[in-house]
Amino acid sequence: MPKLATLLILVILVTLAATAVPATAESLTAIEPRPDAPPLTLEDLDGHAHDLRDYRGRVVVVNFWATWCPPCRDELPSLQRLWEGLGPDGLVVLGVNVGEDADRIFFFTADYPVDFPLLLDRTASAIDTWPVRGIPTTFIIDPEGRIAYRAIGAREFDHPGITARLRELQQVQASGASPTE
Amino acid sequence: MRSAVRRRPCPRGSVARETLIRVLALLALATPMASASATETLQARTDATSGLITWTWQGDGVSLELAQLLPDQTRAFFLGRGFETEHADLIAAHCVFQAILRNNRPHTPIEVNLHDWSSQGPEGLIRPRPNRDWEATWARRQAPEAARIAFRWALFPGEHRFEPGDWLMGMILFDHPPGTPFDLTLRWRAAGALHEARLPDLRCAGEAGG
Repeated sequence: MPKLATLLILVILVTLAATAVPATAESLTAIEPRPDAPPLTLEDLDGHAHDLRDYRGRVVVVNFWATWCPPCRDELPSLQRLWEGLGPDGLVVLGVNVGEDADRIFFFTADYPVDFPLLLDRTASAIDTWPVRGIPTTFIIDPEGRIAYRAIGAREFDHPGITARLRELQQVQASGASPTE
Repeated sequence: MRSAVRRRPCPRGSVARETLIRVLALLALATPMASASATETLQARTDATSGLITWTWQGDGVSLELAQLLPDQTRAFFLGRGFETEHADLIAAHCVFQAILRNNRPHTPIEVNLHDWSSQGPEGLIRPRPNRDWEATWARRQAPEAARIAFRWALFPGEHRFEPGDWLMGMILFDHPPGTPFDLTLRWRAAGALHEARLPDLRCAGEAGG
């Protein structure tokens, strides 16, 4: 009898493990311990300079992308919706374009309208200082300027599973407490 | 006619055992996903318009999609990224696929190194040529910087660690001429162990289609 019960529990556990496929649209990899984000100082399409250090105290989404990258295009509308939803509460979204010029991006945004800053990394010098091997790759930077989460491949960034984690980081920001305390 | 089967009274222990066996049997019936995920599948889908073939392999919590790219498609893409005709022709003379690799495992990261993959075709065993392997070629041929950046990021990364839920799309180039048939052997690492899968009867897109 105990053997049968053990077998039953094993079967249930194996069943749960086999069917627990990760929800790709909302999965974020938590980075522990959180490393400091590399420097990021670039101009946007309007020539305004953005320095990641200037956003200390706020949650920042840094998305590396290119116009010719299909998954990058797929996730841009969800980044826009995320920006519209959490931007008023202090969230910052920075889209870092890799290797393209302002004209190409400007025309691209006619089909993919976004309001958040699109930064130009023309020589790919910025992306080379970040731990990125493929695009799109997205980092969530906590209010202390550290990498809290990473996503490789496209996501639905306004998915409740993702926005809940971003709100959690924002709440830590609002309360002034360290999330690792 | 009435059944002549007589039921014997059962002791309590054997009732419990019988119940457990029934539960186990029901669970076995209710877990087709578990058994399917333990089995490798390879499907080929031909696009009715272009004739191009996309292969989708799934197994062991990993999936790989390989879509044929016509030499003309490859040439057009890289001309649009700033390569000169001579350079775009060089790339298009290779066997090019658009690949999507996903780690569907719920908890385990996987590590992929394209140098570990191999393709067996008429010319023998050939490995893919990841992006870094082309840098010297583009430097020697003085390809424009914007084109080189696009090439580097458009190709599937040579080495990558995929956390659960991570996936990437990118081109994979083999040194086969367009139209070549070949078998592909994938390799990846998970939890310290090397895993392998063989995808037979693939084919590079030819000049006129798959």
